[in-house]
Amino acid sequence: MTVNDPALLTQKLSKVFRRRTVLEGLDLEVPRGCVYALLGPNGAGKTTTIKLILNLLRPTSGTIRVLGLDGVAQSQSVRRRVGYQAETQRFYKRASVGELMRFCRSLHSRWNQERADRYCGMFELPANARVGELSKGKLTLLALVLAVGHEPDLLILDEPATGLDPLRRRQVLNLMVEEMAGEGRTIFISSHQLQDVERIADRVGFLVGGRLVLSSSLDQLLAREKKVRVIFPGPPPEDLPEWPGVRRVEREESGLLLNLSGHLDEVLGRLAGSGAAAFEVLDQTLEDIFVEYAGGSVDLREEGR
Amino acid sequence: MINMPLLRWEIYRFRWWYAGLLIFAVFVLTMLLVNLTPDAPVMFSFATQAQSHPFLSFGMFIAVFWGMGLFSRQFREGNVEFLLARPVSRLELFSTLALVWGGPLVLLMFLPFLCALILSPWFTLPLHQLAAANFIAAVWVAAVYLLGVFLGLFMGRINTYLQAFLIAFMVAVFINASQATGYGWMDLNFQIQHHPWASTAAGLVLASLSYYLGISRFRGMDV
Repeated sequence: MTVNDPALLTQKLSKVFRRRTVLEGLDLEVPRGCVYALLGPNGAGKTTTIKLILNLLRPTSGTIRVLGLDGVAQSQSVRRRVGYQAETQRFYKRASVGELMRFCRSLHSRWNQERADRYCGMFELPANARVGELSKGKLTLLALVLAVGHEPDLLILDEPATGLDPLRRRQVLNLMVEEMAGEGRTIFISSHQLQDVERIADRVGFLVGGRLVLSSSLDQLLAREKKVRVIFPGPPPEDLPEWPGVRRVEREESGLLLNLSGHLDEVLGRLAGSGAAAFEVLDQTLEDIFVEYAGGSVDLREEGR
Repeated sequence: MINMPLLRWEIYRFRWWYAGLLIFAVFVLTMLLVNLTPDAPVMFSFATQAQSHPFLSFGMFIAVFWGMGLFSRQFREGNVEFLLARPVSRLELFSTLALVWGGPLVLLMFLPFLCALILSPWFTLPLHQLAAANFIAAVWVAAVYLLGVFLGLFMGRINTYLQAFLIAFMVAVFINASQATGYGWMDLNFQIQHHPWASTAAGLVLASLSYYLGISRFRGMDV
């Protein structure tokens, strides 16, 4: 175990539930200190991946290393250094917030009570409130406080915005970015809120049908994935869909719309040389790119490590 | 093997339940003492004439019922996922929860001995025999309880109290039927009376095996 080990490393990780393959050959690397967002449609295997990392699920095959430790054999040591907020909060309904906090503190050798108290105050979580009487959003916030109390090196958040209003969502995200990431902790998020992810993530991975179809730095991804609107006075080149970087060609009223993945300069050069009357380069949002990949072909693209 | 913070937490959570159990124990103890005849050994005939236990069938029934319901309830309430996402090993979780619920039940089997111990200054009572009989009964209750826990792990979240109750009821009927029909080899009380060492050994083997199988099953489970 060295400080150079990635925060999270999975190799050929697979999970099969009763002959149904949920995760297939997942090779994932999350560098230390980054905010990594794992995105994917419902049933893509995001929660399964998280549960495998925490050893809540047993891998069918493959290896998991978390903070340089074996995710299965050294699972208990891993969980000492990992904070986890589950997608659905179901725990100890009859306990009070204060009781649950004291219990969690007793399970860890280190606990930042000042931070926990501050977050409880910020999220309006009174110590005497019963867990079972909290709203869905408050439960999510309580789970977040319990996940960060022991100052984890790796914070895993499964749909952290569940049940939160936009104000709270922004508060949580700022909290994560400013405090947790600012302290050099690694944050691994699974989320459907692509706008939030775009604001906070350093790296993103797209999980589709149990397979990682893309893992990249967010900046590089946004710089690489472009659309080009082009007008040809005559018929377009027949081999246009086969040009390097061209993922898809859509027909529009006045021309064509090319979905590009890299090779922008080369494509623009070819367009200029093939008699295109005009073209315009359009930026894409993370949501556009996600939709493109989630509904498109399955090719592993690992870049920007 | 036992996670002390978790043990304290579970005992704290169920403090009122424990208080109820204590009240029940005091009640049973009082009944034993109040119904005492001038010649106390009548009450302890099971200890003088035989080593059978008055609560064995009842203890078995409760042991299976609680054992089978233990983890299905924890799974349903989401506590297992909550705890296993924290630095609690599966061995610790299994052992601690089994102890929290099974421990008091096993201790309850020593009530007759406790009663005799209280009376011992005034009456001549077979304390050694009682202690031995109670110990064997406690071993068997622990064994059946752990067997129930192991079997309950196969039911997962779909286990209901009704299922556990029905199975526990069948066990109780089985034990009593074997007593009534005189099949000595099936009659635990008979075995305890006539083959105390073999009964103890068999109970310990069943308890150990159930515990081992339960741990193995729980370690391999997806949460």
